[in-house]
Amino acid sequence: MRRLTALKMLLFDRSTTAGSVAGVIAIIFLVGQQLAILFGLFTYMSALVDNSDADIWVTTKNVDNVSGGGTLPMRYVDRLLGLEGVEWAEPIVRTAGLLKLKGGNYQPVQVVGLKRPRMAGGPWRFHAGGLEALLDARGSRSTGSISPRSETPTPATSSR
Amino acid sequence: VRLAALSQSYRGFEGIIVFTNIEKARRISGLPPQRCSNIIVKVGKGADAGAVASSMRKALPKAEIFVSKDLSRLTRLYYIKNTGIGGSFGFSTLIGALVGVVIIALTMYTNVLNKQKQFAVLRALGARKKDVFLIVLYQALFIASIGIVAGFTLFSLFLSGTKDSGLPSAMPWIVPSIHAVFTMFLCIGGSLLSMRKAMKIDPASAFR
Repeated sequence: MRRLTALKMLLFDRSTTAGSVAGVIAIIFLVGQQLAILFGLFTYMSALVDNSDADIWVTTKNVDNVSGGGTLPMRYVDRLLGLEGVEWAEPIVRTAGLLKLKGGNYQPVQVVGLKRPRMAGGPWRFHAGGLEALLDARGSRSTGSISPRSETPTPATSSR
Repeated sequence: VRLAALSQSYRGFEGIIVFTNIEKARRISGLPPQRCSNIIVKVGKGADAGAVASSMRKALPKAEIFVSKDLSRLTRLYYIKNTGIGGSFGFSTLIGALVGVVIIALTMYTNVLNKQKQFAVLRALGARKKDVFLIVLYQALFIASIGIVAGFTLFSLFLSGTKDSGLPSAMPWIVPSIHAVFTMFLCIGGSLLSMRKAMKIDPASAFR
C-alpha cells in the first residue's frame, strides 16, 4: 500500500520525478564514462604485459616499468628452460622505430620482436592480414583504432 | 620493413606498437644476436607462478623476475606517477563524482521538500510518521532504480560505441556494481536529509 502510494505520488508530480531521474541518469553516465576512460588508459599503460600470455617477465635489475631496462644475455633463456615448472621461455626485443605513413609523415613507434614460431607476446586479433605476416619477416602494426578507410597495411614502412 | 598486417584492440600507452620477428627487430635496433630486451615465461599447468619466479630469482640473481600482474601494476604506477595523466584524470574523475554526490543529494532533497503538502495530506488522513518515512524511502528507491537502469543502458551504449575506437575505454566488472550501490545509497541519503521535515510536518497545514 505504501509502495503504491509512493509510486502514485511520483507519477502525480511527473516533472519533479523526471528531473530527479534525469539527475541520476546523468551522474551514472558521466561518472561512468570518466571511470571508463581512466581504466581504458590503465589498460593502454600495461598492454604489452597484460596481452603477452606470459606468467613471468624477466628484465634487468632496478626496472620500474616494462619499457625500461637494459638487455639480457640469451643464455638466460636456456637456463630458465631447465627450471622446474617452466613450460616455455621466449626472448623478446623491444626498440624504438619510425613509421612512415602514406602521406610521407613519420610517426614514432615501439617495435617489438618476437621469436618464431611461437610468437609469444604478439597480437591475437587482426584487422587485416594475420600472424603469418610476422612469420615471414614482415611487420605487423598494432593499434586499437583502425579505420579501414585511412589506414591500409601495404603503403607504410617502418624504419629506424 | 613494410607493414603486412594490422592488429586490432591492441594499443600501447606510448603509441603504436609494431610487432615483427626477433631477427627483424634486432636489425632495426642493432642489438647483437646474443642479447634480448626481456624474457617472457609461461609456467606449466598446475605450477605456481610465484614459486617458479622464486626459483628463477635464485637461478638468475643478476636479473629482475616479475610475476606478470606485478609488472603490470608497477608499469601502471610508473605512468600514473611520472606522466601526471593518472593524477589529473583521477582528479577530474573525483571532482565528477563529488559533483554527482551533491547533485543527487540535492535532487532527492528537493524532491521530498516539493511533496511537503502531499505528506501533510497523508498525515491528515491518518498516516503515521513511519508510513511517511517508508513512502519517502520507496520514492528514493524508485527514482534510483529507474535512473540506474537507464544510466547504465546509456553507459553500455557508450562502451560498445567506443570499443575498438581511438578513445580508451574499459570497465572492470566490479566497478559498475560499486557505482550502482553508491548511487543508490546517495539517493537514499539525499532523501533522508529531508526526512525530518517530511515527518515533522503538521497535518493541519494541509488545510491552510
